[in-house]
Amino acid sequence: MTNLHNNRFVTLPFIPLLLILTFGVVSGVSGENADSNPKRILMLSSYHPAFPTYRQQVDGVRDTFAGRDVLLDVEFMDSKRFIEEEFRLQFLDMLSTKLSQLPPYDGVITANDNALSFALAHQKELFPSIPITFFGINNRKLALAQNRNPQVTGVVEAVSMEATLQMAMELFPQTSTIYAIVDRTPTGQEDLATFYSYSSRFPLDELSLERLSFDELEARLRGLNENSVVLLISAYHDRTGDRLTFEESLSRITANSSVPIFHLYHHGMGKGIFGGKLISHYQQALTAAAIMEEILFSETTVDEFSVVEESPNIYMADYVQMEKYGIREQDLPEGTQVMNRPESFYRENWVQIWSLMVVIFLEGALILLLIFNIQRKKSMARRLMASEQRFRDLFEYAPVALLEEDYSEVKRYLDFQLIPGGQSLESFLQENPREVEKCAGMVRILDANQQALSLFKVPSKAPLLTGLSRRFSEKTLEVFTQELLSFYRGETKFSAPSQMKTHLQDPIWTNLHLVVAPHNEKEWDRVYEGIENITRTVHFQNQLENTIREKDILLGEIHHRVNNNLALISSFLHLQTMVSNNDALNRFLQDSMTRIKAMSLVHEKLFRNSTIENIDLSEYIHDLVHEIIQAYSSSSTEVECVISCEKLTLSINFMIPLGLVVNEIVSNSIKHAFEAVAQPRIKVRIEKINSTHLELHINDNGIGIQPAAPQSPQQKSSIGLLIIDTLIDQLEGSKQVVTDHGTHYTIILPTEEGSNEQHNTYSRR
Amino acid sequence: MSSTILIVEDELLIALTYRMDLEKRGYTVIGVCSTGQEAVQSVEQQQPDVVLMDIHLKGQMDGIEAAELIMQSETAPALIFITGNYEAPTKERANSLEPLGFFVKPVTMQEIDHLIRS
Repeated sequence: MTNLHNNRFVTLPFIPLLLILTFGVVSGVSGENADSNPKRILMLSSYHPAFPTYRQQVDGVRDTFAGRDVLLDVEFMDSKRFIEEEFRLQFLDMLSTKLSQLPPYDGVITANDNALSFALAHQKELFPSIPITFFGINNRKLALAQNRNPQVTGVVEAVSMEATLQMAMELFPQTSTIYAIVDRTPTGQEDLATFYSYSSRFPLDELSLERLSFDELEARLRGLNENSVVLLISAYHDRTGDRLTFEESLSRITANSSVPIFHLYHHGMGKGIFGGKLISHYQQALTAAAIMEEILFSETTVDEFSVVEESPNIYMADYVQMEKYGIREQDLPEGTQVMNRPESFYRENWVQIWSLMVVIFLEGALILLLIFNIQRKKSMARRLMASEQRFRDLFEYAPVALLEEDYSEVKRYLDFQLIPGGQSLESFLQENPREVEKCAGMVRILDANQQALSLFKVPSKAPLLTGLSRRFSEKTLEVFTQELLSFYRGETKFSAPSQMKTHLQDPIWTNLHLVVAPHNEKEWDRVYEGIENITRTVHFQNQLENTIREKDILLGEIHHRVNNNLALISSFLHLQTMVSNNDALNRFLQDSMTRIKAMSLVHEKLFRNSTIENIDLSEYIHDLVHEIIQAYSSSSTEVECVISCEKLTLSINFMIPLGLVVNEIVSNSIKHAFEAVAQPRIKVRIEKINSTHLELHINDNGIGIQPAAPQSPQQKSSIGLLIIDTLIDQLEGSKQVVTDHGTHYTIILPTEEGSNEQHNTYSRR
Repeated sequence: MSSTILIVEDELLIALTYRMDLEKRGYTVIGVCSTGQEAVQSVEQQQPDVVLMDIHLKGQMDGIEAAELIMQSETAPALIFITGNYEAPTKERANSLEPLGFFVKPVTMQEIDHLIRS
């Protein structure tokens, strides 16, 4: 068995919202789905539409089926006003007629005891096999008996007497008496009995209309002391037989009572009643309708639901009465619904307030964003201006002449230039210098910096911006041609020395550096040109070249003079040999002459050379050996000479000692080695053995020399050998002499690089 | 007792002629050096009476620089500079060391001999 009461109760706080949301939907759904076989439900009301409980009851039913495809009909028995049997029978006839002409109902919901009693009495004839759910049943016994009826179930309605009395005492603890207003109606008497069942716990008394008229009741109410509380149970009839509606009697009671009035039913709330734990007709209807919904839409049967025994009553209080008696909300029992609570401005307008706040927040954020953006833009603009100024200054005051140029017209002209078939642009431009001049005239100068003004000697930018072509010389046009060809090949950079003219047509030497600005490679509409003034450099370079040329001439002249002087000395010695008969003296003079020749030959080579510092070793050795042989050879002995020498260039510092060494060895061989040698032969070979040393071999096929014991320089028999050893020492070389079918000299000498490694260089000259 | 002389000259043939001539004149030539460094070492070790110093030498040190180091010694020898480069700045540098003599090549050993004896 399923008990839906609790499930439904939890939705209570959302009922007003559901009402708002679903009212239109229910109505709408009923109309829209008229053709879609909706569930038909009949609500059988015990009373009439104007009865105080009716509105809440029908709302409870409608809210339950909100969103469901349901058609709800309501029939009113009006049994409160017309209690005679005659009316009941007429109602039966009328309903029977209606049911016979209408499609059958899928379910019946009865409201209050009379409707349930009627439905049960005519269940078989009117509602065979139709599920019936009931609510608002005070007859608990009858209600619980339906647990045995397979087609009927529902919810009991019972007053919460104890809870209401407890609520009154807790809220008004100083209460001395709780007075029950009651009349002689059965329901009233039944509730009065219940009231008195709690007399042991609460101070109870009654104001009974069985003994009082309504006027007397009013008087009694006015006379109640301030520590009294009133519980309205029933007030329809007085002792005189006067009848009042609930609203009429309630109006008279509230008008004459200054103490809080509690009630057991929802109706009357908001009209002067404080509150109580009330029977909620809405909640009752909601519970019964929920059971019907389950039966109709969840394929369950009535007998799966037992009768809900506990009436779903709710604590309620009227905010106006709370204010009147100084009761705070937190003093109320938990879950109490407070009606008539004045909505605070916030509660009434929270949607608008929040919407407004969201709008204000968004607008504020937008404003902040805009302010931030504006500040950022201002800051960027300032930075941009500073940057612009910085680059402007950089351009204007750069220490090199800068031009910003537009070559786009040149590019278009070259693109559309009709070049004769087969001819390249290069040959075309070279053959047509007028075209190059025309292109030069198309170059637009967009801007020029201060250094450019200074370079071209113009007072302002205006004369420069008219174009550069008038500052071109013949050399500039050649460079301009190369520049155009370079750009036309797709290159974006070009540098070349050039000659230009100032505004006054003075020639200036320049280094041009051109760059096609990025993203302008196709059109050439922005080209940056840096012009370096190298006039002074060129001038100094020319001066330097002249100085070097003069120095070379002077050095050559010195070598020439030295050579001549040495030749003069040699001539003096030769003259002396001519007049002298002293053979020893003549030999000495001859030796001296060849030594002088070895030295003078170096100077001769130097002044004849294109360079004045280095001499070709091979050429020198050939000439030297040839001179020696000529000087010493006689007609009787012709010496064969084989010279093999690597191509080496050496300085005068190395060449003179080397030449003297070769002179001594070769002349010594010719003088002393070839006596009785049929075919005298001398071989001279010089080769580089590594990067720092060279080897000198001088071999003869003469008689050889006997190795002598070491001697001091003074003791050496031959001055020639002394010179050889001294010069080899000076050159930091080594010597090996072997006598084997002749004399074989092997001398290893460090070249100047090798020598420099040891002694670095000569310190000061 | 004859004076001892150290010859500092990188042209070894010239040094040889100096040596032969001086020895004929009765001097004791204690050695021939061709670089400044050798000369400084040699003076330290052998303490000659006179150093015959060519200014133009092989190596990183010239004759005047070598003489400056030599003259720092307490037993500094007498200095005679011989150079083929007669330039005023060179002579000024050399004279700052107060040498016994300053000769421009070619020079004869007779002149040297006369100076030493005087």
